Amino acid sequence: MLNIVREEYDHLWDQFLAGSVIAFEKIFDTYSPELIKYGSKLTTDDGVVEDAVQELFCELWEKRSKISRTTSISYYLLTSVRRKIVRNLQKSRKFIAAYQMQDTCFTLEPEFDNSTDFIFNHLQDSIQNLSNHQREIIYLRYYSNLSFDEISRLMELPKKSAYNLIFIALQNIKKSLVSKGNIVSELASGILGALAPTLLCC
Amino acid sequence: MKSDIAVIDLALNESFIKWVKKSDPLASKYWERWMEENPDKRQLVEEARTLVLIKFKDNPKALEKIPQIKEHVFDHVNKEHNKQHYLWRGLVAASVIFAVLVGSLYYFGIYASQQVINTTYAEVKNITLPDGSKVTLSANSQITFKKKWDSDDPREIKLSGEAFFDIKHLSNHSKFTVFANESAVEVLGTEFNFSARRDKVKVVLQSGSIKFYQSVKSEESLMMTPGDMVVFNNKDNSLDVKKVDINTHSGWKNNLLSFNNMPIEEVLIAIEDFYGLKVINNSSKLENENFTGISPMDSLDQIIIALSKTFDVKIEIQDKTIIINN
Repeated sequence: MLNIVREEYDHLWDQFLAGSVIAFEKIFDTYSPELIKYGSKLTTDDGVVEDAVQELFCELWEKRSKISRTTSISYYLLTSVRRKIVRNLQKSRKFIAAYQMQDTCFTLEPEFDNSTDFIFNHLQDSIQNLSNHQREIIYLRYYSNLSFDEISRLMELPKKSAYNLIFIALQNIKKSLVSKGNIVSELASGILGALAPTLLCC
Repeated sequence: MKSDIAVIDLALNESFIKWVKKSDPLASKYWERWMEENPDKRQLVEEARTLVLIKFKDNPKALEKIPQIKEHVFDHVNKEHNKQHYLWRGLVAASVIFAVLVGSLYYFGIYASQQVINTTYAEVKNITLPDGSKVTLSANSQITFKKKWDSDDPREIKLSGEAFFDIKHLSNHSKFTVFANESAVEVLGTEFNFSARRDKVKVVLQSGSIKFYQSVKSEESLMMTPGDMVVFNNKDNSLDVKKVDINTHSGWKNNLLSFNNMPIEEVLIAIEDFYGLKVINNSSKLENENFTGISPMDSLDQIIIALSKTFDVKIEIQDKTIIINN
């Protein structure tokens, strides 16, 4: 009796483009935390992130008549906010040296939980040893749930490179994966205690 | 090493990720069967699952700024909106006093130009919207909409509580959207009952057709036909769809509370919502019972009497609390 209709374009975005303030507010409420979280991993300067998000939403509303339809709001907004943050950081001169065009910094600190049959040993280290790009791609794939297509466009990388990047990153992380059955010997050797909280950044 | 590659391949599989993240029921079916058929791959799957589910810390401080950002953004939205009304802009420029007045309106954020209509307990209101559509607002409910509807503006309304909508079909086929909780309903011209109380969203369609979006984020909508009832529970993300008798779901419109073989817990919740009372049930006799009955909405006594007679329980009303005892 019921038909499921798969939308080709995002309906909430369409409503916003048609001038709906309620839809725009829903978009803000739904996606701004995601954007702030992602942004604050690109730079430790919270002010830059807040400015970028505010500027982005103001511009969206102003330019809504010129904005195109989208299949993924997440992708559209993450790409826009990334561009803004990178541009703003480049503008403030102190960053120019440290900041290569595409090589953004990306902070990722693991949080441990016991919900699976496995634990991570040295996860902190293995994530720290990844490149900025690798950390970012892990985040975009598993946290922001973007597709490879979207990730490669966002990071301006060929799709194959994006895939290789995440494959190697996962291989490194996988090395620190330990079955819970082995946890006793690991504890005995004191390795787990060495997981000191260190901040990763550029 | 070979199994490492298999684990990573799995952790990168689009459909596998959807299954692990429980975001696609179709993917779930596929992978559950796959697990049954490949019990030897359990370790592999668990490892890949763990990889997909690694958690990372967020900076909670950064999120605290969101309300402030929102205020700035919607201040901007309001100004943009008002630019279209040149007369207004002129007045603002001309009169400092008026500017102060407008400033205080901005203080109320984006709802400065919005109309809010409320009902209290056991109250029902009839409202005609700017486009001629009619809303019957149930007890303990609220709708919010823009005061002025220009012909090319989207028709939209926010609901909390419950209302019956009779939406006028316009010659330009403009859509009408009702937002409630995380869900939304999109229609052209039709009649339906929409309730959004606690964590539940319930839509019963009387005539025409509507599109139901369980979440404004979902990529899919449900096309409903007359007699369909959709219940979406925000708490556990469960969706229930069935054919129902329309009248029992919009009886309140005619000032009638009607229950048709309804589980007693739901009956008690409905009483709480309609009359703004707290119900304390100390009686074991009501367990797993269903209740059928109709009563005028302004007479709580009748329902109380019916319940106490049907289930042989003592019901007392103290202050704002209904207490049920054996």
